[in-house]
Amino acid sequence: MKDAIRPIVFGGMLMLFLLASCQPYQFKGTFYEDPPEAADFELTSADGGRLRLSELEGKIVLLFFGFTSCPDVCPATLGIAKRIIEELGDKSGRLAFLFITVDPERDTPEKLNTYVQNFHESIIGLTGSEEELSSVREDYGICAAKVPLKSGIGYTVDHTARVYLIDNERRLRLTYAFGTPYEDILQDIKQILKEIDAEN
Amino acid sequence: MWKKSIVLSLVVILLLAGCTPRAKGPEITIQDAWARPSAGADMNGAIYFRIMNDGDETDTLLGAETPSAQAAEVHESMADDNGVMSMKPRENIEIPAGGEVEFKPGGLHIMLVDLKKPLAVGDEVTLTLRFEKAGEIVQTVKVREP
Repeated sequence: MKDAIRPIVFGGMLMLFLLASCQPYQFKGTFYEDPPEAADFELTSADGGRLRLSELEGKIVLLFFGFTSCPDVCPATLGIAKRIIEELGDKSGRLAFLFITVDPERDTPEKLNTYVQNFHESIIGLTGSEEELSSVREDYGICAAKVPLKSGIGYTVDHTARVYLIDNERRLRLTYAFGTPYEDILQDIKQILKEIDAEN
Repeated sequence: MWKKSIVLSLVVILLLAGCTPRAKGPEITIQDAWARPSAGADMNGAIYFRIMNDGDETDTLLGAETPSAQAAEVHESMADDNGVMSMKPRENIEIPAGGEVEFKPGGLHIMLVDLKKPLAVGDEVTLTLRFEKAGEIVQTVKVREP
């Protein structure tokens, strides 16, 4: 009797395993059902040159808006960027992390450069004129408001702290709330890289 | 005579014992303190920790000081429903009796305004926290990656 049950149990377990592996990957971030094209923009990179988002097509782009005087939320997010880049290892060249300032008044290209490079040399800091920056923010639904503070830093900038993921075909695929573990973002990136490799 | 002194001593001991149990007041300890490495010379920093109060009385964090920066301010980051983060100075953080308050990324933190020198992993920062009842507590804070 025991011998008769064994193959049934094994068969059942195998079926379950196969079914589980058929399940489509569940993205960790908030995903767009029908990914829209990510609005193109051109801004000044921290080294003084100009950079267009469309020049990065073929790479996965993570986009974050912040400011260098920020002591908490921005360094926490850039710390996550660093972890992701390091963990991607030899695949890290397929990812670009852009940090767009919401505080062009204080964030000169040089200051921005020193700041982002401190986390990882491949992170790109971007600034521009007030008009250029506000147009990018509008395209991505980013709020940014300068708020005077009774503090040594004078003022802070309240801002949207989500990370946006743009895929290799410049489609806005996913967003991540502040506080998302880096492992979640990393796993999504690896999945998209896998999809890209499967297509080619 | 001898008996009398024994009785007297016992009375005194009893009276003394009757004076306790009195309120022990707040018992503040700082745990798991760490500072984020900074990203440049004239940049700002942040310190995080947990404040435990094992006493039976609430205490209040009034402020902070450090020789490593122009100022050490108690701030709180907050997110609204749309994911917009804001940061506000906070005053008088209450640490309830038997409770704890956590300072963590994206929440309460000590903001180090205008660091005198960059903070690298392994560095130490001296932080003085000033409480209403416990007075000043001096803490050595290690700089480390989150």
